[in-house]
Amino acid sequence: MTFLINKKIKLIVIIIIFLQLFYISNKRLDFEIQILKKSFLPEYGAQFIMSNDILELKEVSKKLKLNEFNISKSLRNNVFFYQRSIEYLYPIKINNNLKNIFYANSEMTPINCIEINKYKYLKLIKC
Amino acid sequence: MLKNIDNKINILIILNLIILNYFFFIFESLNFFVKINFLLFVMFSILYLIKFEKNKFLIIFILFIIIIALGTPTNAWDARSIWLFKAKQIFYDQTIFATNNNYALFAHSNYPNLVPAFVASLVNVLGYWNEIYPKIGVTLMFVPGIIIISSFFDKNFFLFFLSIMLFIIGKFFVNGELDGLLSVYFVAVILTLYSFSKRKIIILSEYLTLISLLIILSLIKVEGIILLVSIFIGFAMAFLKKNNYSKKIIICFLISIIPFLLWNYYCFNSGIENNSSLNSISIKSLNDRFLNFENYILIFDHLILNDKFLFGLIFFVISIFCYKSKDLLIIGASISLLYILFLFVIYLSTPLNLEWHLNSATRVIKPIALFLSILALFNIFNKKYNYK
Repeated sequence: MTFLINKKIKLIVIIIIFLQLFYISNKRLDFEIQILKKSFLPEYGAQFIMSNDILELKEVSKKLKLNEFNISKSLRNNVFFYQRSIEYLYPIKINNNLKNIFYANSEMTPINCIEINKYKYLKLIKC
Repeated sequence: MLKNIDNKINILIILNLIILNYFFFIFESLNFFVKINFLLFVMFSILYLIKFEKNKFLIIFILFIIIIALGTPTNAWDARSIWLFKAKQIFYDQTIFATNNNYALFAHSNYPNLVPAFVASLVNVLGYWNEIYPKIGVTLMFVPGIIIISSFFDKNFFLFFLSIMLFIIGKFFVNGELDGLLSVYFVAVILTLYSFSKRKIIILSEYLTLISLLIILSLIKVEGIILLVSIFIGFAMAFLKKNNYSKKIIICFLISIIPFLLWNYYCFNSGIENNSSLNSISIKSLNDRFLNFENYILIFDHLILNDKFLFGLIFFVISIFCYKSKDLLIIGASISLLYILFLFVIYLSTPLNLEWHLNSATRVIKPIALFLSILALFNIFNKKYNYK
């Protein structure tokens, strides 16, 4: 019965549990007090996950009050950009048939397409 | 009056609030109840934890994992692309069918929506989305599972249980992925069933608790139904001939797979698809790989030579060797072997690149790693202190 209620063992295991929690939060994950403090702010947290171009895509889409958006083939082939933009922008949905298409600034504007607007990382093209 | 609710009834209520939440998102006219349902879940969970006298440390533990979840960015790939995205869709469209229009195939529209619906109900209470807090919905769903398992341990053994669980599940408590949650409910079902097999009288609420646990297990992830089948076969091998209540347990299993079958029937009928058949079986791939011994070595390397699985296996073998228990040996061996066999078949038949697909091996083996470890701890506790 002593093992079951031994206070030294209890103390050691509790210390181990706290060390494990500390290890998980700091080594396995990127725990930050700053995130904790702001964790319930609306729309908070994207800057820790999204790349700047995706953040800009959402900002521009909201500013233009878009219900749908479209991205270039090159951006679509970028799995990170494609998946993150779809889930981050929701309820703004991707529509591959839209004529207004977001391209990365580094991409060439296709012939027969007009550049509507240029932003820091992306440009909006009408094809 | 609430304080007088029996612990078993309390846990049954908590489990059913999770299932009811899912139900409320099926019918849009019932959406109003989602917020109330979630608040009731929190209230009954707190009530239970306050009354849970023998293991007060559990409250501190749960608070800490919630704090860690709130202080870390949500960047796990599956958590974002599948589970929290589904939750976001359910929150904005107020129905679980929002995820089933084949929009964004990478989100695996045919995957079960129980956990995303629960997360969406938390977001409904607050009324807005952000990229941090919704994942605590997944963390909160651990509470009933942990409560059930911890009721099988006492004092220092309870602390060992928490430490082992932290070692095996680790960041999966807080990162929004569901493999840890699946592992906890899997172990909760097994310990509940094992306790049934050792008693002559089982009351109705306990059968209902078992059904609720099995429903949740089958609707967390697609692996859930395989674990459920493995449990059924494993327990059948150990106990079916010995007990007169086996028919009732079979009925429990049959009832509990109804929601899973209905969901899959709906997906099949609605033409809901899955991205790149990640979880599908390709006979051609199976044929190509079946006779190539190297594939078995590769799968063995990723699946079996996993530190957490090996820890569980060694701990289990030592515990069975030192504190002999034929029943637990049969249960542990049969369930583990069945599930591992299934994983071998899945990996051999994957239409994807095998080495790439095996990246998921460390996650999918977690239920067995936790199961063997907790079963080993339970065996020692049971033999030394005669758990009833």
